[in-house]
Amino acid sequence: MGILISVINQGLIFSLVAVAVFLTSRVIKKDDLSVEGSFGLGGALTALLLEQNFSSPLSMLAATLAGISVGSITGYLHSRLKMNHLMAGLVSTTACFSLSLALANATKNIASEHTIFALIPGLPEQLQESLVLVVLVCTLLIAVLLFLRSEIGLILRASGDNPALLAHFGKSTSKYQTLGFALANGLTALAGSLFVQWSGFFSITGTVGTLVAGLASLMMAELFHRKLSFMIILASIMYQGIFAITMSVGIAPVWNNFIKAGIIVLLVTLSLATKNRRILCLK
Amino acid sequence: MLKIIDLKKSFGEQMVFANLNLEAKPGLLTILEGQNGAGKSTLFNILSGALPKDEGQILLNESPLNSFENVAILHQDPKSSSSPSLSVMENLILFLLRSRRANLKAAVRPETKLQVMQHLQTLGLTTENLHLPMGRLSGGQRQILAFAMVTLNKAPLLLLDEPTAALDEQMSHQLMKLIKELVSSWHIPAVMISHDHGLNQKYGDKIVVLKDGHLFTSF
Repeated sequence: MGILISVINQGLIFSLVAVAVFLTSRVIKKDDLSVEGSFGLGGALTALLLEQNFSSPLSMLAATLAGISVGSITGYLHSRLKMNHLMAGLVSTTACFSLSLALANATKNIASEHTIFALIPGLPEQLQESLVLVVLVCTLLIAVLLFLRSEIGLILRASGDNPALLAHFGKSTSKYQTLGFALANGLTALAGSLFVQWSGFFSITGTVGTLVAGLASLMMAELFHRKLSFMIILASIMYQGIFAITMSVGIAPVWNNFIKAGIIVLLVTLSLATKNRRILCLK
Repeated sequence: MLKIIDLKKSFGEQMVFANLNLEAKPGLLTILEGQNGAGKSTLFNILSGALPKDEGQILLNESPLNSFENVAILHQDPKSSSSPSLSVMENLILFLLRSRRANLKAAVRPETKLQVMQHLQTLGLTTENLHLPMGRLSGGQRQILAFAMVTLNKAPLLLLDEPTAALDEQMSHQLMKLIKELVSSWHIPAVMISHDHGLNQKYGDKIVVLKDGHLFTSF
């Protein structure tokens, strides 16, 4: 039971990364590697601030703002300095790696600190975690869904589809794409902050594979529903479940990232097969 | 009334036209014909603000045409004027709000959707399938909707760049009827480039042919 709740909680946290990947890969149509760096930076900053006795909500806000800054820098490098978006993301992630180390060293234990999960006294620990995460993640997902239906959201979506249309409206494509990078990295850094508080420690090696987890969850959600929906949370939980099952058969942890990569290849194959089947059905 | 007076345009040594004069009356559809390279697109681009003129005057209702923001322009390719992953309604809303400062509320206000629906009904278009992604529609349907989009805000001038070039015969007639009705009801001048002489004869109120840098009135 404990493992199941743990899988659900991890799935909830990483669904925010999946939403971030959706914003960059599917909305503005620019794959963003800086997501990996902002997850670590959000976690490192939270670990440091909690250790310095700052409140948990303030630490989360600081982490989110740090993520937004990382995304803005990636957007600036891409849109203003005309750097390829993958390269811009790589540059940001590399810089974030050093920043995270400087803030929290390679590891930092915060198990004894007062985290966001200790807000409701009297409830069992894991239930508290689930409750806080469900409320927070669902609220954020609804906020993103509403935002994408707003006028700014519509322009953001159009910026990925048809940048020429924005120019026709007199709107700046680069400004809106930078907004997309900033929002995605803000969400990821918040996920990093939640992950550190949930696990009780920060580890620089723990940030590796974040992007893959988000991407895999998104691809899994898209097998069922192409649009952004609550399916992304379920898919993220499913991905964590598959990963947990794979680990439970006794494979050494050094193979973690290899398995994650394998799951991605499997999902791409499934996605292609589903797409081909849809085309055949239409024919 | 749109008046083009002694318009001159050249690209370096190459003169496209000199002393070009044209009048497009409100409520009537003026069609511009001419062979490829005659300068139709250059004239269209000057009228739409995409190219600067060298000399001459362009007057819209006796005032120089300086601001092109409110001019309704329909291009040949419907894909250029819409976002395929946005729904039909969302595309229409974007066009309705395009000249305003982007905000978080306007797009979801019921009155915004109502305004879009009313416009579609005025044009006699169906309000079904507005939830479908634009990319799922046929080229003809997208062009008809592109026309609905560019005319959501009342414009003082309508410019059409071969709007039926990619459409089948049935869709071409449907679009031309819509254009004629709107130009007449709004009582604004409209200038259209078209190679389809049959359609031009049927729907054009005035046909001018651009040849060797000069305009000849066909009828």
